[in-house]
Parts: sequence; C-alpha cells; structure tokens
Amino acid sequence: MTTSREDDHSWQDRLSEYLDGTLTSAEVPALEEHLNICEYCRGALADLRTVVDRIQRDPADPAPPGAWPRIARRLAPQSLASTVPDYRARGRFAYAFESRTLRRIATAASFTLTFVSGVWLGAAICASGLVGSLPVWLHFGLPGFTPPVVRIPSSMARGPLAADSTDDGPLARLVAQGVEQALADAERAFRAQPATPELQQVLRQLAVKRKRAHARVDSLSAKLKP
Amino acid sequence: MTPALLPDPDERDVARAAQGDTDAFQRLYLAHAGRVYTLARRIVGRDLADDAAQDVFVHAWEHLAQFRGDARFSTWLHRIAVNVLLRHAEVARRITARIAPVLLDELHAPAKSEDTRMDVDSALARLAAGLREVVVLHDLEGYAHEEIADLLAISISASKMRLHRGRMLMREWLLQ
Repeated sequence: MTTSREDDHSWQDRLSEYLDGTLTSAEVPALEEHLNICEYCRGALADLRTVVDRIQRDPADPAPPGAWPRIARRLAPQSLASTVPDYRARGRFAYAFESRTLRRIATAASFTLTFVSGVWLGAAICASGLVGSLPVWLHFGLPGFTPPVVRIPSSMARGPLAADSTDDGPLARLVAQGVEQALADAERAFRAQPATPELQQVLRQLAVKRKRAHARVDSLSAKLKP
Repeated sequence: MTPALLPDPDERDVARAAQGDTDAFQRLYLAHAGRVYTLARRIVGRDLADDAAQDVFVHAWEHLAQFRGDARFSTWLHRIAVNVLLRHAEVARRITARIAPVLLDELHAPAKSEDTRMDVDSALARLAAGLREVVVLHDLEGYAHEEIADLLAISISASKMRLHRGRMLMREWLLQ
C-alpha cells in the first residue's frame, strides 16, 4: 500500500493498527504521508483516539448485592472439585459436562429412558406371548415413582399384574408418562441453566425418543387389542 | 521492587480457600467481584452478566487446586473469567441464532433513528459479539492480538480487522 492520494482512503482500515503501534516500520511513513494530505483520515484517526480513550475510561461495576449467597450455595467441597480446567486443550465446550447439575439431569434422563425402554421391552415380551406378566421390579424402578396400573389383555395375563382387556392404551400411558417425566426434568433443568448446549442436545434426544416410543406403543397397542 | 515481585495480597486466602475455607473464598470474591462482573457485563451483556460472573467464581473455586502461585491470583482468575465468559457468549450466540435468527438480525441491524448517540456501555452492548469480544479484550483488558486470536480461534489479521471495525462502529455511535 503505497498510495498517498488525498481521495484514497484505503489507509483508513489501518488506522487502528497505526494507533496501536502495530504497523510495520515500512508502513508507518507511508500512512503518515497520507495523513499529511488527507483531512478525512486525520479526522478518523482523531476520532478513534477519542473512542479508545472513552472505552478505557468506562467505569467498572460494583458486584451486585446479594450475589455471594447464590455463589456460596454452588460451592462444592474442595475434595469433590474437578482438577481439569484446561478448556482450550479439551475444547471450549468441554467444561459444561463438569456441571454437576447437568450430570445429574443427564443421568436422571438416561435412567428414566432406560426404565421406560425396559417397560416397553417387557410389554413387548408380554405381547409376544413369551411371558405372561410384566416383571415385578417395574413397580420399584424409580425413587418416589408410583407405577401406573398396567393392564394387559386377560387372555395373556397371568400373575399379580393381570387385569382386564377393556383399556387399549395403558401401556402407551405408562411409556408416555416415563418419557414425559424425563422431558419435564430436562426442561426444568434447561430453564435453570439455559446456556448449556449439551442440555439442549439431551432435550432433542429425548424428543426423538418420545416420538419413537409413542410410535412403538401405538404399534404395541394395536397388537394388544383383542 | 517491581510489582511482579510484590507478595500476592490474596496468597493467604487462596491457600485457605484451596483447603475448602469458603470464608476465605468469600474474601477473594469481594476483592475481585467488581472486575469480574464488569468484564462479564462487557462480554456477555448486562442480561447474562450475573449468571456468567457466578459461573466464573464457581469454576475458580472448583479449580483452585490447580493454582500454583506462578502468577498472581488476580491474573489467574482473570484468565478463567475470560475463558468462561467467552464460552457463555458463544453459547448465547448459538442459542439465539438457533432460536431467533430474525431477532438476531434485528439486534445487529443499524439503528434507524437519527439520534444514535449513546454511552460506551450501550455502544459496547450494541456491537456484534465477535466485535465486542475483541474490543473488550484489546482495549479494556490489554490483550495482544496474538492472545485474542488464540482465545477466539481466529487469525491475528481477523482480530485486527474486528478491532478496527468495532472501533469505527463505536465512533459512529459515540461521536456522530
């Protein structure tokens, strides 16, 4: 860039570098030559000095009152703390997985989905006629979980879970409740911690699994109809 | 004695906090919260600043065992803050772009009003995130373009270009 014509403002893109002293020794005299004859670029340079000065005088904020208690609640005992903070080496998003909240939610969601899958599998086995009743452990799958009444056709029912065949969608409700609960848990976590791409991914995966689960249950319900 | 050789005023509290003393960590928080919140406001914007700044301190707490005292605690904390805040900014940008690209365009569209003069805070907030991060890191935090390029995974020339573009936009909003 050697031009120094008054009407050529191509140097304007280099004014910040000139201001910061990062132009090469060969470029500085060429730009200064242009500045000598170009009022427009001189004005832009003066403005940039003012802008940088004003940016650097931007006052600092005080910490918001009441912030510490919220932070204190999130401090885990040091013995449980992670010791791998090199985000750049591990990728800029890696540390999101260190979030205990996210891990808890992901674990809960996976557990719930696994449980739901087990329900569906058990139901499918029943429907296939290989086994006549759903396994008892279904009732004790999750802490605090109240199992819905599982109804299967009386023609296939044997054991304590047997019921009548009047309801053609109980398994659908069972599966749907499990998946919906997992979704609700994940959505609550998302609201509490929205800036977490991994949680969004969990939500998307849950949504896909919900769709598949409903499709499978529809198919199963059709088979269960007398 | 150069400043670098002066004892770190946070040394005692850092040692105690590393042993799990939350009172000591609270003192560290009180000493540095202003700077971290200011940096958060400048990088992620006022709306997200509180949550992002909290994350900075939680991460600092979780990684205190890695602080070796090679640099001052304030320097170490600042580096963590920049990393955490840049991640927040990028996540926010991705979410916004995914959820409301039209809104994002509107946010970054030039103002139509004649009265575009504003203060530095508002002008910084109005810059697109990619420009704002470079302006904040360079002009406010004193980072070199090489460091910024490394942090943001961009080229040095891109960092220089973003800085100049950000300054020129702020010139327009602040002075004209």
